[in-house]
Amino acid sequence: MNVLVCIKQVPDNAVVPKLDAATNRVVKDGVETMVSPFDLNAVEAGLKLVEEHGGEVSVLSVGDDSCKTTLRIGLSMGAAKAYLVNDPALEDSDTWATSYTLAKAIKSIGEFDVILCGKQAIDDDAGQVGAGIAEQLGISQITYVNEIKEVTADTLTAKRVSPAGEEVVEAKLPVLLTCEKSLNEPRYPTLKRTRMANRAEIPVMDCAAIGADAAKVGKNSPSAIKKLYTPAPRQSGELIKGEAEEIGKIAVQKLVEQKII
Amino acid sequence: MDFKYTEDQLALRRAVREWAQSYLAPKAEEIDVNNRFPTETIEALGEQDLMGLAYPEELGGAGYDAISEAIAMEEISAACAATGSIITGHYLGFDALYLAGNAEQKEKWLRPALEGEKYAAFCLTEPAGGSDMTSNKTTAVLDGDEWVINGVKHFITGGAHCDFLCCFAITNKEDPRHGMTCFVVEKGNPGMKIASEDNKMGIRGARTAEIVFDNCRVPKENMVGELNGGYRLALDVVDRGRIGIAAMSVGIAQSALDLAIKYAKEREVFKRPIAKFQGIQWMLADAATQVEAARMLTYYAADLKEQGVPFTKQAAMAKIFAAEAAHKVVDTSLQIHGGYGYMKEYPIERIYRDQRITELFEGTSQVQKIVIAGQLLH
Amino acid sequence: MSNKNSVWVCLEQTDGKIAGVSYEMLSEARKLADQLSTEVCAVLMGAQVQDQAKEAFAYGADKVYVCDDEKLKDYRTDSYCKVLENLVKENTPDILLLAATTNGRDLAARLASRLETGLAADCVALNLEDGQLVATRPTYGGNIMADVVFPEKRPAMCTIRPNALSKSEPDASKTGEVIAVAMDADEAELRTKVREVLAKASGEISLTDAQIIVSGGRGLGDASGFDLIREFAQTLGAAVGASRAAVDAGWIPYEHQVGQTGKTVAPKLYIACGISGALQHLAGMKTSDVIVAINKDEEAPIFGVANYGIVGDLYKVIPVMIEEIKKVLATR
Repeated sequence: MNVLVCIKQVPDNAVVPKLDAATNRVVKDGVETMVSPFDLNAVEAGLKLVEEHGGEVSVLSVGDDSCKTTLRIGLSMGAAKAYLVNDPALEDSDTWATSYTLAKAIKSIGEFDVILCGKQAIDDDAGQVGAGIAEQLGISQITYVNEIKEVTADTLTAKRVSPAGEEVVEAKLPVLLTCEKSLNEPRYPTLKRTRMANRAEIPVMDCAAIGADAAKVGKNSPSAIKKLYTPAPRQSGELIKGEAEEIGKIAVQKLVEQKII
Repeated sequence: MDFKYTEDQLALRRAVREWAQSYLAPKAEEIDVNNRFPTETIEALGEQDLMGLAYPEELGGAGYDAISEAIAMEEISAACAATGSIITGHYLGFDALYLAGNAEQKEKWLRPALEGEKYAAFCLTEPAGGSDMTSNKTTAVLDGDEWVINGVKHFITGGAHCDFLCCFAITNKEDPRHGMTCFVVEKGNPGMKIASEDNKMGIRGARTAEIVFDNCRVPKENMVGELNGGYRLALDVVDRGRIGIAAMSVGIAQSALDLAIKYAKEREVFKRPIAKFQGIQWMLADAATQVEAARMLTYYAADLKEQGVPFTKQAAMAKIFAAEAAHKVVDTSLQIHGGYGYMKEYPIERIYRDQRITELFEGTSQVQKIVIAGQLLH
Repeated sequence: MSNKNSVWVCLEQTDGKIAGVSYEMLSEARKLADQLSTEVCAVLMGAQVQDQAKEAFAYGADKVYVCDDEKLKDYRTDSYCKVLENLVKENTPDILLLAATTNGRDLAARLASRLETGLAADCVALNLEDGQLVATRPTYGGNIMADVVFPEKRPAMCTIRPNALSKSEPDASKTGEVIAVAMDADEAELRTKVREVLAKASGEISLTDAQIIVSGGRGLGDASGFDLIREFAQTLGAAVGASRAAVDAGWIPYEHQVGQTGKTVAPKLYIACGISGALQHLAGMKTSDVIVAINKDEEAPIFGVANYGIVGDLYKVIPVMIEEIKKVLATR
């Protein structure tokens, strides 16, 4: 069973993101990076699958050269191969363009039985790339997976989070899964593998190499960000005083009015 | 001269920090409160390849360099100083085998120690003799094919929890300097008894024990290095270990500084964060300078060790400087925390106690000065 | 009114019941359509859902396309996507809204990819500027807001966060056209099947996953106070948290502790009950979206970070709140 995991490098979420008003972008210079946490669950799920069913895990990312660090973390967890797509034309790609690019890259790398993504990246919080890749590759998808139940020669069965609760879904292989945090506990990279990962050659591909049409990605994406801004600061607190019966009702009323519950 | 971290070192710091902060840090308080040696941590350290980080891969180590080892020790001690001490004890425990062991001994004890299968302890200190090893009383006498060890050792880190220890015993009472020998004693040897475990001020999870050798018989094959070569061997082991204590001190200091910065930004008095007051800023600046200087001296000593050139003086300098820097920084951090810093619900209270050992073990600060002066004047 | 460039809403339903977010989307779609002088079309897919279609008119739909088929009983990406794809290709809407639930997001992302069009996720506000849709959505865990535009490709697609947009007053007198749509996908073409449907996971919700957290502190007085906290949490579908004081007192296990030495959480709603608000605790929860504090002591520091500070005896206030919340939930 060959598994490919798409992983994304994101700014460290311990740092409150700052905006650069001039460029309308989030400041990334000097900010520590991390692998988007759900992607680590995806890597772990991939490693477990190949441990049980044989084969190997490959990791793939789109971004500049610094994203090799993220790919090396995938390798140090146990992935066998890593690939990076880096092309200046990809800057400002939206989720459509990113899934198009990843799907092209996957096709150019090889055949996979299972493709894994995190349920969303914690910078963009969109959660759309996984399903987008599945569509571009013409394969089945199960999103928001919190348990992989069974794998047969031609199907994979997983439990996913549904609006009403949970459901168990059987999909034909190949399948793309997007992973919830509760799916597993990602392993830590061991230091021996970290050293090996640092020495691994990571092939870098551009749009031409993967057969992606540069006119469809980056600034030519179907959607664009017009403006980024920090949300209005929290309104100052309001004290509710009086008889218990009364203030309990007022409190709930306020929460309902504010659409909090 | 090259002040740049290698890719390996950067990746290692990231990996160790992430692991230590999520695995060790949440345990730090519990093992302190319960005075508990975290056996489960030993296994986890092995899984992370931290039990033999800077030893050759062919022997079972992870093949990193000495600076990487210092970086790892920093990150581990920043998360939990007791664990830093537990690893230090382990490294000291098997280092004699690495330096002087024969091929069979390396295969039998060193490899499993480096791979994290066996936990080692360093068994040198005695009630009457600490840094003054010539006052040691524990003896070993050859009886047929076995050495018979008698005596008492104390303050032995992990003594009650190790799989084997390297015990240094007098084999020639006339001239201990040239009459001390190292022996491997394995767990379960009927002649080795744990008399008690200590109730320490800090690094409480790194439990230390008093061990009694009562006609403890070990096979001849357990002698490490040359007969009567143990004094020099012990000094070499301790020399190498000092860099680890320096790195441990840097990690403790860094964690105290980080807590102080965080607290200073959060804590408001007179309607502004205390970090806005110059008095606090200067305290932080001084503390950060201490940390950085200690780190540089530690890496320098580690680099000399890596190059295979003499490093005794620099290791002692790094150890005393870093330990004393850590003392100042934890004190500053606690002061910045104000009354809260004195409360057990703030980790600086534990770190303040944990730090103190760095000025005492592996030679007190005063002993480091003897070592440094000896190097200057000889 | 023209049927060109219309605003479409894909109604979210579970077990044949239209979900509240669907009405919020319809209300918003109506506002947009009025400004654009176009119509609102709703799409309802499912099994045995036909009768629900008319509900959409009261919230502003002009037309409802209904695809009622046993094959649509369970949500499946392939079947739902096929129906919606056909409708969009035939009718070329300008804007298409779906719910930002796990199903809505699954479907929207698949369809947008197929249609090569833009999709903004989890939007909390929609506006028109020069007749062009601007969708506002939180990113970076809500730390940064993004205004998304759709330069050329149509429809402009958005998933809409439930409870983010307001629902208009329903007008029962309104009617419209119900258009039946055939389901033409073959079972063999559908690559997934739902083998089992499970009710909402029972048992306690974990702190780090929770959207709502109810925490108890020293003010509970004793361990039994957590019975009330648990009941409160259960009513809200919330996880149970605790201050360090409550954990140290042995009232609740450590894994519930929120704060510097416990877990750091940032739920949508954090309710602190009998927690004074030591810095230690605040460090672990102050980035929550909304904080409600219940405390007897008006001077308690927790009120300094609370959006709503309820000054009173928690043992009296919480039971009232539980009853009130149950009433609200019963009307949904």
